[in-house]
Amino acid sequence: MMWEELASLAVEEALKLGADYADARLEAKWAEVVTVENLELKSYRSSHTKGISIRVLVGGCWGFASTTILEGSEVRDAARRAFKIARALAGSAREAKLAEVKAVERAFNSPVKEESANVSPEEKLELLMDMNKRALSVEGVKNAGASLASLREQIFFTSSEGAGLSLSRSSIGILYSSIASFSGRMERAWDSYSSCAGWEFVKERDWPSEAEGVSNLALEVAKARSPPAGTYPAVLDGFLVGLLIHEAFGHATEGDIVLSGDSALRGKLGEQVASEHVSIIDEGIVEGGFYIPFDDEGTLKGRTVVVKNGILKAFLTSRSVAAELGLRPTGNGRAQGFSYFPTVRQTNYYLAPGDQSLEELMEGIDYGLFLMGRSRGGGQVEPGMGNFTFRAGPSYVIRHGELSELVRGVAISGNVLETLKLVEGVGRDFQIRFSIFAGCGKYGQVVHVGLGGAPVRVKKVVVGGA
Amino acid sequence: MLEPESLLSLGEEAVREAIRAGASEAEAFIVSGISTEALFTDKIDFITSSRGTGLSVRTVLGKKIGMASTSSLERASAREVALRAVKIARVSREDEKWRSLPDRYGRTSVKGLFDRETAEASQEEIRDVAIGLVNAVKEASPHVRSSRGMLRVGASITVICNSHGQEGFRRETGAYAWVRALAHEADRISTATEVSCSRSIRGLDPSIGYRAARRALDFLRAGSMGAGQVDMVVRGVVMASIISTMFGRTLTADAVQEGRSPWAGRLGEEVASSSFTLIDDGTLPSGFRSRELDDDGLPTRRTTLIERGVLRAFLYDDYRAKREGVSSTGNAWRASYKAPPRPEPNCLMLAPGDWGLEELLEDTREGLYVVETIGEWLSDPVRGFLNANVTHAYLIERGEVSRPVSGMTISCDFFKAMRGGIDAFCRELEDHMGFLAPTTRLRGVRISG
Repeated sequence: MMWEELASLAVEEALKLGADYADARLEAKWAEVVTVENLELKSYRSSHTKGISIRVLVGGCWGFASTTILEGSEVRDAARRAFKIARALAGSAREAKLAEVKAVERAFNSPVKEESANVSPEEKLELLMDMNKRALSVEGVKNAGASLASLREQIFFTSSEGAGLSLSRSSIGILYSSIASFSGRMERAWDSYSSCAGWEFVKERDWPSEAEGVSNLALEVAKARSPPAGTYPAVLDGFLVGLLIHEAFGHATEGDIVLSGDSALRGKLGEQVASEHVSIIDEGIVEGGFYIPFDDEGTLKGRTVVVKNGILKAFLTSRSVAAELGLRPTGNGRAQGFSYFPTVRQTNYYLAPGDQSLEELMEGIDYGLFLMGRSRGGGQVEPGMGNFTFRAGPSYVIRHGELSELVRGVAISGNVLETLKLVEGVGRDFQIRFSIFAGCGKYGQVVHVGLGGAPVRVKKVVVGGA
Repeated sequence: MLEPESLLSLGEEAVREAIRAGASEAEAFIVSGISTEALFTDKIDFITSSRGTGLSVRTVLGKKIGMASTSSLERASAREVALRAVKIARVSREDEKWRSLPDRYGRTSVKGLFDRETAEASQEEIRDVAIGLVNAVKEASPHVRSSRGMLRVGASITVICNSHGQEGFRRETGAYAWVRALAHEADRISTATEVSCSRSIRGLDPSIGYRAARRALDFLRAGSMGAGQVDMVVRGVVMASIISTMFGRTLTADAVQEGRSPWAGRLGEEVASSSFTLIDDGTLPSGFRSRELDDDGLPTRRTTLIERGVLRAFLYDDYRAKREGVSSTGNAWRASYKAPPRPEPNCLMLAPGDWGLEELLEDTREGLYVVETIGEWLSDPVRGFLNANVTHAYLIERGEVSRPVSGMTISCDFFKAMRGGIDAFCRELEDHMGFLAPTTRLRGVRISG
């Protein structure tokens, strides 16, 4: 049976059973991951996964089922399972309504010039080995690793409202790390770049030099000190700002979190929630980001202005969350894969650039920190109260308005609303990145997101020390 | 869910196909499972039912290795994936350290890892457990409700076989739930989260909702705390998360052999005080990370890693063990069927002591009783620096728990603390997703406000 026919079969079966609404998502993914460590090939693997999910709405209750067995009888069975769940939830589930969206029929392709699948495995291995050699050539480096991942996805969405959307997306990325030792102290540094593109992305960079750079960074950090715990004025680079905005603010703007009462931003639409320097955008297709032309509910994802000059303008929504909040659907109903129910997720979430140079941002800081995203740790946030904690990468001390010595990565923490009100300026150097190797986790689902922004100056940041 | 016999026959076919295509060794790893998940707030948002399958084939050509996988369990797909794995192996580099796939599988009998009732739980039963969790929050007070929670119940069969004529399988069930309670009073809100995991749906702790609710109510009046140094009594589940971060990826043989572990070359060294014992146990009855056989097909066991302060052992999978000419400790894990095995902890536990909680608080006199943190997993396990943001703690004043405080960042040199600063362990072990620890005291922890 043809791909689209299988999805239509699922929807038809659900309607036949009595569903008020049904949609089906079919996905096929081809992934390849090559990992080299200390000049040895650690693994070379390829995977092919495919599956379908069917989602139904019956009397205001959702039912959802998925399967990896792509046969007509199994797909019908999945539709029956979904229908049965929806029926079982009558009376005990939150009543779901769908905000209206235009049913669109359209095909999207992420830009790709040379599919990674067409490049020989030998060439891929050679590149990673070259990176490894250069990384290990730095004295004091005990371990170096490099991974290349590529992913090709085909997604098809259809609904009982007549939507028919397809997406072909290719993405690729390289991650590399080094561990250096100095006077018995070990330190790891890493970096990674990904793009929704093909092999042409790999050709654009001198990867062995990048790997050597990370080795040098690891060694420098092993020699560096930690700043004492305390409160500092700080400038955060665009990459770290992206992470901070996504974790500490972005999640609190997700409509389902707002609805549950678990967001520090609940009831604050139209209010000043950040300093006037801060504007925040969520956008589906943006350079450097993950390519998301539509969400997993078939809603086109355009550009959502979340904060404009410090004023909260919008929450991110799926169709049902939009209906419940009385807002418009913003195309943020996203799922990790076909077997997951879409929930409200960010796409490419970023702080819009300002007009200051880095020097201007640092001007007047007598003693502070320039906190950087490269080689950072992760972050976590408690959205209800707005508390966050992050591990910045190796950073610099600012003395008398100028960059001074390197310090080790530090944990920073605080309350997001307080911190964003302390933003005193935004720089113009703008970057957005996503990682094929990692994503954002929420309710057990991990999705790729673009993070980015421009450097900001914050009046004070709490640093937890080493 | 499919039966092991049919999965084994499929695996054998894939292995045969790989050998026919020129592989000197081949292995098939197959998973078939079903899981049901409910996401809820103060009502259920949705329930999903997912049926998933996967097959991976690892092939060896001399010392060159390739791996390929598919989500399809059709015979043609199994053959195709075997050929793809051989093709990858052909272009791979030789791994000089490769010896062979296991030539003898094994199995340790572990009770409580499969529960038929859980495997056969209906959507209605799962719905009712989720409703029970929501109601437990409401029962605590009219000022509190469940703002988010999740219940996941699943069952799976894992099958592994190789060209040395070895085959094995395991059946498992699991249930996992978390609830976040939200309390509100005037314009103040506060939240608290509790988690429970078990091998059976009945084994889930039904009181998590109530406990989260009580704490959320408590923290409506949470204050803050100034910077300084304090003695901390850390609740077992928080300690278990710290243990998983600090040791989960550094006491494994891959980290040691690749120079990524701070513990390399230190076996036999005294790395902690004599009260500190760390054990990995794949045979713990009903353990959330226990298994009868690991993802290499080898039997699990109990391994003492740090014995009364002395570093005794590392965790091995078959490949890492053969590199050193030792036996695997049964710690092969695959992140999914698509991934190659690597050593990871089974049930990793910090050994309990003999303190009761009240006794420990009384002995501590002044300090902080930490019950919930975020970001502890961002700590640095190579240098041993512990960092966390304390979202929920109570001051200990005159030996008793007093007012709640929130929003502090804690940091300490954990490796140094192991030598004396971590000095008291309670009797009860608490479970954080298969990592276990007792409530533990850490002396002299730095706090930034």
